[in-house]
Amino acid sequence: MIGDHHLIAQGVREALTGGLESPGQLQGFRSRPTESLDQPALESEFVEACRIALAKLVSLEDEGVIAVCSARRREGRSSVATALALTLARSQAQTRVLLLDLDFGHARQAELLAVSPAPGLAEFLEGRERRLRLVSGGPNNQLWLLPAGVHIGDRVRLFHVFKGAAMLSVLRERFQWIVVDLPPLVGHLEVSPLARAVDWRVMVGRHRRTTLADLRECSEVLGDDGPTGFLLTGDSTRIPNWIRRRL
Amino acid sequence: MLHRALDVVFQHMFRLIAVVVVVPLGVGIVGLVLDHSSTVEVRIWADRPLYSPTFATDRFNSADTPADIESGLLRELIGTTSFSTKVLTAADPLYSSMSADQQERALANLQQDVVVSTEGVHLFTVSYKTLDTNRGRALVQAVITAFGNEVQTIDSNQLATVQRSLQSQADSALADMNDAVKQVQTYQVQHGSGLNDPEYQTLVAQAKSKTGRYLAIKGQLDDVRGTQSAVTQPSAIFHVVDQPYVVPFKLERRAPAVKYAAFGLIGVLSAEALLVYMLARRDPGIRSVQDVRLAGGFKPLGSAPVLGRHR
Repeated sequence: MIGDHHLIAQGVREALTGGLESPGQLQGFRSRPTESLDQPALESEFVEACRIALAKLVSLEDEGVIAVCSARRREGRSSVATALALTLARSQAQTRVLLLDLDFGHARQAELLAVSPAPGLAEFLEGRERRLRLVSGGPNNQLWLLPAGVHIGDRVRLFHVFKGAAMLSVLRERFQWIVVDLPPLVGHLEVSPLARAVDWRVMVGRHRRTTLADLRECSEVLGDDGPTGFLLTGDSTRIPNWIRRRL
Repeated sequence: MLHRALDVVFQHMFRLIAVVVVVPLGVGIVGLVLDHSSTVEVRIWADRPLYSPTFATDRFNSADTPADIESGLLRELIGTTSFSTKVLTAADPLYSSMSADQQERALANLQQDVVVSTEGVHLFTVSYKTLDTNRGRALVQAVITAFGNEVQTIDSNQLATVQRSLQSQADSALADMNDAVKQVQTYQVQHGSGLNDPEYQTLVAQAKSKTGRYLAIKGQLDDVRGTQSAVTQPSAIFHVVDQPYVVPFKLERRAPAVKYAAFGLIGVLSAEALLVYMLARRDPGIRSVQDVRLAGGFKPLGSAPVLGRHR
């Protein structure tokens, strides 16, 4: 299927035509009625920090695409993406939120939400699966996960296919909010076009680990195409709160 | 920069505090161990002298306490070369045979190591830090002796000046008195005595007045003469309460160990400040959300805690 962008887009559209009323009623999707997203193992304090960050970034908007990116791995990007998707699903009733894992190299969303990692988007884009597998759960089944899956071919090519097939636009037709978990930006220039195509970007950096040089590089990769916020994760500072408030 | 520096400080807080405590303490202990010097001290009682009911030396005219006055005088004297030389000559028989450089060094050491301090209204101490307690005792004793001599000299000079002045006045008053008495006697021989003679009465009154003036001055002069003998006793001004003794060990502010510890503390604080500055400036990692402003283009959204920290 790789290379046949129109067919892919058509396939996705057809898959979504039947609506997303419940996991068991999806048309064109490989569904597992017994499968559901577990409550992610995120602490309430962490989710609350992500909720505040989200409010600062999107304020009163009620739909859009948010890309969560980081300079390198192990900076908390996937956890932030999960927390943002969960927050969006909780905050607005009757809203469908899709958590899209595009980190084909080290997909973590399936693990975080305790579902099977495959099949996923990679299998679909490589033509090994005819149907997309979406797993729903969360508050009122509003949160949907499209796992990255397990790829065989080149990851860069998967990105080109995804972008070329305009899958994001197709998915936007059916989901009010899409949270995209992108691969690290440093060393993955293929991410740049997709990162520039979203409405908002959340850059994640880990306290004392992410470097300013990496951030500058990411800033160049992301460009000035849309609002980009920065969320510091793993904040282990010992500065007392009363001092932080005064600074 | 302030955020970064504070993050560094609080990240390494316990290490920084440990170094601030341990290094000055260690330096202080080493200083204490290496310091073998002792302090020889003498305690002196100072008094405001009244040699006679109407006479005192002018330096006691101020409101300062006797201890302040005498200790101040001693400090000034120690600062002079002649006084210090007298002390060294008396305390150290070899001083005279020293080279000029050695004498100069000995003089400087004396002026630096002898400390005069007050302990009360009357009590003041003279202390001397030395490795040789016998020499310390001899030196402190020499200081007291030289001080006594100087005080006597000062007071004797003052008295001699006063005495000369009063003697001159007394001689003049005596001459005036003799003239007046002579005039009365001459008038009486020439005109005979007459109680009703107004001129005679005037001459008598003048003679009485000049006699009175002479007697007053003579009284003062006698006072000063009396004082002159008292001044030859230093005990009239001060006396030694405690003879020179070796002070038992006590950690004083001026002790080398304390000085080294203070220098160590200043050094450690400076080094730590420099270290924090360097770390905050050179560390490439993000230490606060505010740092992203340096990277440009990002809107700070806040910070999230470490995952699993409370598990």
